[in-house]
Parts: sequence; C-alpha cells; structure tokens
Amino acid sequence: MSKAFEFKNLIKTYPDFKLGPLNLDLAPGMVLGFVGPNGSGKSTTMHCLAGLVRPDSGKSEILGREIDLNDPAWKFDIGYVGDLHVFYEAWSGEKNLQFLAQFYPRWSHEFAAKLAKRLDLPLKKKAKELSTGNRAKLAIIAALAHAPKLLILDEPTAGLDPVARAEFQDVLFEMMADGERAIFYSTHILPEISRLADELAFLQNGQIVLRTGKDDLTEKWRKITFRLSRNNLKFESVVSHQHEGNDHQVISSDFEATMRQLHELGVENVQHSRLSVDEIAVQILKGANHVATHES
Amino acid sequence: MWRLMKAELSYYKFALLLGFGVCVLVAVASWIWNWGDLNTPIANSAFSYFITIAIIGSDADKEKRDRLYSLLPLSLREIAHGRMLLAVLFQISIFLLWLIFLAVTRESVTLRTICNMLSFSALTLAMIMFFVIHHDLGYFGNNKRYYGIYYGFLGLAIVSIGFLYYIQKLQTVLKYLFTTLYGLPAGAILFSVFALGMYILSLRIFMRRKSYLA
Repeated sequence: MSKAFEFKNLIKTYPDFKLGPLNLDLAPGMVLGFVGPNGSGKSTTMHCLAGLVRPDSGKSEILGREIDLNDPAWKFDIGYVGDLHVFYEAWSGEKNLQFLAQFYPRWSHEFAAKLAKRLDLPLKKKAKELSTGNRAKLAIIAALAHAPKLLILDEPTAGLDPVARAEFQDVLFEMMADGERAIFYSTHILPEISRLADELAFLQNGQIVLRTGKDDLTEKWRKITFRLSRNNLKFESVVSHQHEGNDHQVISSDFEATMRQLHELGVENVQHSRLSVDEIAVQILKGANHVATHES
Repeated sequence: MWRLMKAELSYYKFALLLGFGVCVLVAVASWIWNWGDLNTPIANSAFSYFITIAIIGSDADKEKRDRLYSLLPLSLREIAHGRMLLAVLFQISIFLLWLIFLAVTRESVTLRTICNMLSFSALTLAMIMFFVIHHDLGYFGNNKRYYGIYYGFLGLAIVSIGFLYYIQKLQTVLKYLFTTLYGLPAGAILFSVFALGMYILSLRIFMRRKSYLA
C-alpha cells in the first residue's frame, strides 16, 4: 500500500533559513504530530506538501503519486487547513463551499452542512464578516467535505474555542475510523496532539531531531529523583540534571537505561514519574542536539 | 479554467458591469450628441478598462486568490489561464461594443479603423500582462534567468527610448508607431503578436513561481 506521503531529501532554502534535507513519511491510518518551535520549518514543510511552495530539491509523493504542480490528480486526495484561511471574502461561507464543491467529485454537501451545524458555523454570513474562529471552522469544513485521504493540518484549531476544538477532534477521530486516512498535524497545543497522534516528529532548525511513537515517548521519558552524595557523575540518556546537595532530579529519555546505571551505582530511594507530552516536547526541543545524537 | 472564470465573473459582476456600463454610456452619448468618431469611446474604454481591472486585480491580490486557486485540483496551466481570462474577456466585450457603435453610427468602417481597434486592444492587454508578470516575479525566488530576461527587456526599452530622445527621433518613432503603424494590418498583427507573447510569458512565469502563498 502506498504511503500517505513521503519526502525524500526534501530541501527548501530561503535567504535566512534552510529546511532539510528532510526524510519523512506517513503510513495510511496513522496520525503524525509535527512539533517544533516557531520558525523551525513546520509550515514550510506543510506548504511543500500542499503544493503552495516549490521545494528546491528532493522527491515528494502523496499516495504514491509525485507532487507535480502541472498534474493535479494528487490534490483530489488531500485536505489542507493552513496558517491562513483564504476565501472569496464577499461570498457567504455557503457560497464559498459551493464554489469548492465543483472541483471535487467526492464532495458531500450533506457532510459539509452537518459539520457546519456541529461546529456551530453560520454559513449564511459573508466570509469577511466571520470571526477568526469561524474562519478556521469554514476552512476545516472545506478541507474535510471531499473526504480526503490525507489531511494536512497546520495549526488548524488556532482561534477555535475549547468546545469547537473538542468537536473538531471528535470529527477527526471519526474520520480515522476506517483506517485508510492519514493526518499530518502540526500544532503548538500539545495536549491536542497527545490525544490524536500515533507518532510524533520533532523539528528544530529545519531538521527532524526525533521521530518516535507517542506511546514509546511517554513510556521512555521519565523524571527520576534520588539521593546521591556524588555530584560529578554523567548519566546515560539524561537530558536534564539538577541537584541540590545530595538530592538529584534528572529527566531521562531512556528510563530503563538510566535506572540500570543508578542500580549499578547502588543508588536507593529512587522515585520516578511520567512526563506529559508537553513536558517531553520542551525537553527535546531544548536539548535537540543531544537527543538527536542519542537517537541516531 | 472555465470554472475559475465563471467564479470570477460572478464575484466581480458589479465592478465589471459598472466598468462596462461607463463604456456603454459614453458610446451612447457620443452617438446621440455626436461627440466625435470612434476615438471617443475607445479613449474612454481604456480609462474605464484599466480602472476596473486595477480594482479587481488589487482585490484578488488582497484576498490571496492565487493561494486559493493553488489548493484546488487544477494544474498551474489551468490556473494561469483562468486568472487571465477575465481581463481578456472584458477587452473582447469592449471590442464588440466598438463594433456595435460603428454599426449604429454608420461610421464608415475602413481597414484602418479595424486595425486601430485591434492594435489598441492588443496594447491594452499587453499592458495588463506587464503588470501580471511584474507581480508574479515577486514570487520567483532567486531564479536569475527570468529576472535577467525581464529586466533586460525593460532596460533595453528604457535605453532605446532614451537614445531616441537623445537623437531627437523619439517623436518620429512614436508618431510612426501610434499613428501610422497602429492603423496598418502589419501594425495590428505586430501588436497582437506582442500581446500574445506577453500572455505566454505571463503563463510561463506564473507556472515557474517558487511560491503560491499569496
């Protein structure tokens, strides 16, 4: 079965920024969370995937078809919610959706109407009269109504209220039920990703510093506290180490490896706790170079 | 491509009707009060055409229409044609208005009149293409070849005008271009080929843009 998307050595260079070489793929039925600080290249990656930006080099495929801007067959299978929502501003939401519908054979007016109701979007209002949140809702409906096989979501819930955000997440869960669709999801709201994502890719300065299963991540990363009189020790897989006197607190990216070392040192009274995806993300992106070395 | 044009026609129908309405009004007034020959509606049409297209172009730019279109399952070629056809169609409708004006006023239709109309339409469209090309080059990344060709031609044109002015031939050349050649079949063909060349260049430049974010 073809991958939902695949980048091979993708490079995009701007005068003050370089994305890649990026090697990234996603299998159908999976949700890949894309995490990174501002300016790390998340949106550029998504723009390349949606055909809005032309990469300098590398190979990009969607569902086994090369991303060719002159042969748009691949675009029938993608839904994109970007960092900016563009419409015919003087047209109502409904008219904008009607305009889009004529380009997609699989477009469902019924689904669009139901989703608008679920998200509480006033479709009769002109696009220019919609609030930021409602514009996001319209963009979401526009991206989902033609039943795309790959959803490219770049901060899709920015501007949405918590109720609409939860509703949107439920819709995505329902869409994923058939196991054929895939979602490439970038957001700063990490709890959102923790609910949806099967895997996470961390991007820093245009490079993937870590890609891992979400469960692996939460399983392996732990906060460990212990007492030890020695202070100049180097611990394996530890990304952060603080101590006050003999009280130590470390954050480990490989809980078992760190625990083994602590046992070898004869450390007792070891306590550990899981970290949230949010906390792990901060640690990874703070110490990206260390993690990258460790993972490779 | 036709779907885009249909949408644009529907979206900008008020601006287009207003722009065209002004052309019709002036043509009718010229006929009723005998303001002059075909040149009066032609001169007015140019004014009305540029204002209408400038308003539409600026609005489409503000609403990031290229980005909206680029997300649709259409090839870049279709999009490139689709965004230009409105300007072409508007000019064609104005051309038809001139023909109606000639028929109604029973002004004698000479080959020179037809060539004038064709040359004028071609130059008007070429001017619009020039602005479109200039706009699209802003999204061209660092493709020096196309910048070179574009600014090379622009530079050559400016140097040529300067040189002609210096040797005091500018007026003669302009007079030849816009009075003599303009009304000849050779001129109409030349200006039409020039407009077609600008159209093809604008398509190629759009299709080679590095970004369609705006």
